[in-house]
Amino acid sequence: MSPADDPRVGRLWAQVEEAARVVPALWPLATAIAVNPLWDLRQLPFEAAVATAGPVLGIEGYPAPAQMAEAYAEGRISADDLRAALAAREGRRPEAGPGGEDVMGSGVPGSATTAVERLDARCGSGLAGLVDREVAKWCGAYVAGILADPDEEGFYRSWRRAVVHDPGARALVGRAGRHQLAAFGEDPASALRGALDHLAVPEARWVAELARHLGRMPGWAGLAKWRSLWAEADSPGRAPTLLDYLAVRLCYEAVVVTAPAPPPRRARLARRGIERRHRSSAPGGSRDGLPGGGSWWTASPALGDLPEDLQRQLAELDPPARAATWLAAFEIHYRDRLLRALDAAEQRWEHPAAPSPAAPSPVAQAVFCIDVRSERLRRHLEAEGPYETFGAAGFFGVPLRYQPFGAAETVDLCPVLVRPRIELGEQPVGAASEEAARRSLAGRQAMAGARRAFDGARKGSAAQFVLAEAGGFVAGPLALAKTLAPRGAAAARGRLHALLAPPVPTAVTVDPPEGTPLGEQADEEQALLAEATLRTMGLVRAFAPLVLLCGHGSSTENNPYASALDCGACGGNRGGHSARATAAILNRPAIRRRLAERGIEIPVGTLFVAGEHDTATDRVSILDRHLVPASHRDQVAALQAALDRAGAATAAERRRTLPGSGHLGRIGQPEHRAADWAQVQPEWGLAGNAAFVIGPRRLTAGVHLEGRCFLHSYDPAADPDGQALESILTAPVVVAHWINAQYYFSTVEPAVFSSGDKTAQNVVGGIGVVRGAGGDLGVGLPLQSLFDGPRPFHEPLRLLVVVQAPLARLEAIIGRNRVLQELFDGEWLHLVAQEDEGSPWQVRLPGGTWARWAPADAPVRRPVPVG
Amino acid sequence: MVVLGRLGLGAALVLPVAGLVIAGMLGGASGRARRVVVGLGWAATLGALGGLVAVAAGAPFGLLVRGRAGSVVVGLWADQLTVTLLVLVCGVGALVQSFAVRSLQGDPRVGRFLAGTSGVVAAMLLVCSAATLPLLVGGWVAAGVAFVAVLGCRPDLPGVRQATWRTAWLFGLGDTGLVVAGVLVAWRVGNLDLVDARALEAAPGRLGDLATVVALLLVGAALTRSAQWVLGRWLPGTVAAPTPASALLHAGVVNGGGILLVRTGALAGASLPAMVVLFVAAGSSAAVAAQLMTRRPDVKGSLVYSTKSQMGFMLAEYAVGAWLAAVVHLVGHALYKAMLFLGSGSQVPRLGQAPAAPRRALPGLLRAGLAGVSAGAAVGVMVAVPGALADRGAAVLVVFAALSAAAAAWSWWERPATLGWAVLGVGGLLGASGLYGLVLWGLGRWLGPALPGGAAGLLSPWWLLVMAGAGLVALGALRVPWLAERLVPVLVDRAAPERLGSGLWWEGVV
Repeated sequence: MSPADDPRVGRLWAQVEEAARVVPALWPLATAIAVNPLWDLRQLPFEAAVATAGPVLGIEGYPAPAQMAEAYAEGRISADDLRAALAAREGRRPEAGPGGEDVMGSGVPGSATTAVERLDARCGSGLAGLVDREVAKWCGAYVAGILADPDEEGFYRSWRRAVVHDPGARALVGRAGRHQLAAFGEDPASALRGALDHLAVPEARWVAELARHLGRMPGWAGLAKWRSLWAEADSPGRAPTLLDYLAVRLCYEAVVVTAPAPPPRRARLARRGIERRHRSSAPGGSRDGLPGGGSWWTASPALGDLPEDLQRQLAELDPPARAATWLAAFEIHYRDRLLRALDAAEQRWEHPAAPSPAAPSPVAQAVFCIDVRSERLRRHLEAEGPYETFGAAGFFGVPLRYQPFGAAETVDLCPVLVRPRIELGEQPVGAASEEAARRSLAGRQAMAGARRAFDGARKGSAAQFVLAEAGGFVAGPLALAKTLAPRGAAAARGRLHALLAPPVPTAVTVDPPEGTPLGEQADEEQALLAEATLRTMGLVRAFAPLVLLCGHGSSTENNPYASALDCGACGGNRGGHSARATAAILNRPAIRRRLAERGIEIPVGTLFVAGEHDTATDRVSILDRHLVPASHRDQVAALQAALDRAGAATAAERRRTLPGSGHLGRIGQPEHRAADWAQVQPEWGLAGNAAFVIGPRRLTAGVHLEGRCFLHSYDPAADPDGQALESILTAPVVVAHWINAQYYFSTVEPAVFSSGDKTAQNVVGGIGVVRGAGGDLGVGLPLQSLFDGPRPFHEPLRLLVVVQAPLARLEAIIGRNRVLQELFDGEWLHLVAQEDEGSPWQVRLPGGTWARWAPADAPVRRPVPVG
Repeated sequence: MVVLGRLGLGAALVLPVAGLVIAGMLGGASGRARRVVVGLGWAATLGALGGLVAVAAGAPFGLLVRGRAGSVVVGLWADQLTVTLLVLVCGVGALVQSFAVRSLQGDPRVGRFLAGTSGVVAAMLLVCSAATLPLLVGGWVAAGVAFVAVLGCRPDLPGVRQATWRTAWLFGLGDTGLVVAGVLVAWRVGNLDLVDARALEAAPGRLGDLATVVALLLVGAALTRSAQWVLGRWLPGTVAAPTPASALLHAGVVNGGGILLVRTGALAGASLPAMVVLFVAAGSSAAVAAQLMTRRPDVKGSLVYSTKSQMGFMLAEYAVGAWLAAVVHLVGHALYKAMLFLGSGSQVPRLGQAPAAPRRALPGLLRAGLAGVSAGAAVGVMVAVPGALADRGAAVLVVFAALSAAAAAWSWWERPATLGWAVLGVGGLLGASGLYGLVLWGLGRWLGPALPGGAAGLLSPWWLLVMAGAGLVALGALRVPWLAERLVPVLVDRAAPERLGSGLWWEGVV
């Protein structure tokens, strides 16, 4: 990665990395995870970061005026909320304003343009779009393996070999220019330097210039950023690096700008006038034709019934500040509603007539992922009987590199911010296991071979003809079945799979070699992780005889974004394996001994079992049933039955929110959607997410949170030193923030941060999608994950973190962690807390002061500072 | 039975029109309207099936309006060929509509989409079953208009405007040619009865010196609709439209070229210049598109060039007189492509799902040898077995089947399997080949009587093998490093989408 030892080149790399801060890293589709697109600008307050990225990416970064007007009309924002937001703004004006600091270090961000863009602006030509086309063309060819790279030399070198024969380049820069393209240097670093020199960009402006180059196609640039800064060196799939990508792009620009005489086609294109393909860099130019349209620069919510004084005050603000005020009001409204609901529930507990939640000791405890989709299921499971539920990050604190049985590759089952710490696999267990395993594996290999044979014939230049024809007579009936009876077709396919490759009962191999120093070390590591897991969620005593660890995943069909619906804490994979591994670790006597030494006494009669919640169907299955000892079989069966009922109730509750469930009839129901290849909205995923509650379940039990809250269990009493709280705030909260910010930006800037309409998406090289025929890779979530037709389903709100813990402990933790300071002080997240049960809520203001919460519509309008 | 058949035939045409009206008027706003339209589509398919049963049980029949002299003025005709095509068109249309009501569920313009697709189905039904040439031409133009409307349903999606304009422009070009041909025929021959084999065969004679012009115009129209050669430049951009629109296009609309030529029979087929033009244009298109297909990184783009290639193959089959093979290919490919397009979202591999398996590489020379031997064996069998070539080149397909089998076999061989699975694989391949042969034979028996024969076959079916040979040579050439280095960038550039323009009509043309 790091180029030669030349100090200038080293400086160049630093500048490239700096420039790449404005584009979000883009993970390949196989592990599509939610990302805060502006994560690398988190050092700035939210408003300043948006203002910085705005001109580079062509975004405004706030919910559109029309959307705010609608929320106001529906009472989701009130005049009181707006007043409170204005007051809060008033209170801290001096400290933070947008555009205060020049993060890009050099040049004014607002003037960022590339050389060709400046040329276009002068001549009214559309050459920048042609450069984009060439770069996208070669990026696509490279990731799909069409551009030969036999020696793994990287994108730039492969491109350089090919481009001298490229007719597209000839049309753009002429025959001589085509050779000039390859003349800037052997390696990407020197070519990039050469091109920058050729363009006569002063070194002080490099970062701004490079940032705009990346910002023109955030998708390909984001993939390059992932490759350079996030991916493991050995992760599969080809992608350009940042240096490669910029070198290629700058070479085109350098030659296009200085090409001696435009060839005929170029001249024609230049005459043809304004290029519309790419968003103009003016803010708001990006919203045409997409849902949630409207710009704060050209419009304000048109509200006749807004009180005069508010209208006047809002009109005084400049557009971004006005937008930010509306957003803040939207957030205040939700905050007040949530805290009121929590307070009401608390009063209910205190009411003597209400049943005390701790009355019967639970027959089973169940730990679910913090994911907002678990909230509904937990509520319904608790209604089924004496079940106690907990929330924890879905990888259960065990960062795994996992090799599923018989699989070719390993999968990293942990948040991308965490490095895997233990490697595990699985082994077949039980009678005749070896024979069964061999048979299953052979069956899977044969199926993969058949698919390969089909692909081989499909891509053969003469072999494809008869294949298409013969295949059609099989494909036709199949397509009919998949369309008319999706569930039946899926069931039939499942049976066929089971017939060809019978499933083998396996167990996760958690037992290290006994008695060796290596085994000791592994035991110690496992015990450490197990202790942290239990302590973090506050499950350290009063274990029930059965403890379920429940991961989650989503079964969908024909869905390129399937992994975006899986567990984010498992790196965009299904969470079942993590649950199985953790349960296996916690069931090991050696680990329990070590835990007991650390003060966590797990009774001998307690069994940990793993489960997986299918969020598309709301079915929960308990995994590894063959490992359950006879003593616990009845209890497991009873738990499974309760989970079935709770799942059905959850699905029934969710059904109403699904688009088209009214008119699609039977086929619009959740369990059909999961199997339906025509369904673009199998479930809503994490849409609607708005808050993250950290505290004991008593805080939220019985409250209908509408599937909008991440719930992490925490027992303030069991965590005097704040270690557990610190690990919650620095890991799960940050992951949830990424998810929340992804949904936020995808909803408010669908043109840039969403990958567009799912029905027009086109998978490229198995790693990304383009909209329609080609061009830039799509970034972020598809529109169907966020919008119900033209209406946004997701309410774009910054995450509200609600904690029950001593404020001093919270402040100490925030003070220790730079990231938390940046996020809370920069208002990327909001924080409210209460010292303990029943005490008043306190709102944290940027800078670390706390103010007692009062609802916006309460008689006392302004929060009264207490700290 | 005939009454039932007539009812079915009538229903197949009337119900999609009703769907068009309902969807057009209600705009698909209500869920019930959408359900009704989709239901009408399936009912039309049942009607077409009823027609098929009636033909199978009895004899061909028609819904005809006859003039004073007993000649057909206007009407629909159901024979083995037309009812087969009717079932295909109605079925694909209903499938696409069923898919679309779910995949476009949040789209306020879904009503327009349903109306447009109903229109395409109704118009294609006229093309498939019109009893006279003017009706067929009318249906053809209507199908083009309706499809352009489907394509332009979502002008908000990037690239849709440009693709729509370009398609409209090129369709207009091809359709104008067809209308001119229709006018010429009407002027010289009158209201040409497409059902009457003798009238069709006599038509070129009565056209006299205009026969070649008419044939070339028909070929031009077919090449445009089936996206061949430069006339097919409208096709790649259409992937900008939603997936169901692409499925309808690739499984329905592009087949128009083949349907037109088969139905007009000797009108085009009896002209040697027209057939040479058709073969050269379609054959070269097929060979080039087969290369471009593997130079597109995206799923849909690759499918587009696959369609181009397959349609080229189908038209080349027609040009050498293998009409039956062309029709079979048309039907099979339509179903295949509908499946692949609708399922185009399934192309993302998930980690940890591919089974660990050893691999072995088959040297290129050996692969070429395997292909050569299997193709050669097929040719040998055809030459040696007397009468194998008698059925107008359908037997040439055996060579292509052998090539497919060879490609599948070597890909299979690259993953070592246990003996049992290897036997199963070979057995499966043999079984599939047998089944395919059986289907071919059955379809041949079924369609044979309805295919206008006679004039077909001015070019030898062996030319198809020349085309395949040329394709294989090109493939081999691309394995030579010196050539590959120079040619691959050209292919990548030609396959890549153009820069999206401002959507002005003339931008799509130049």
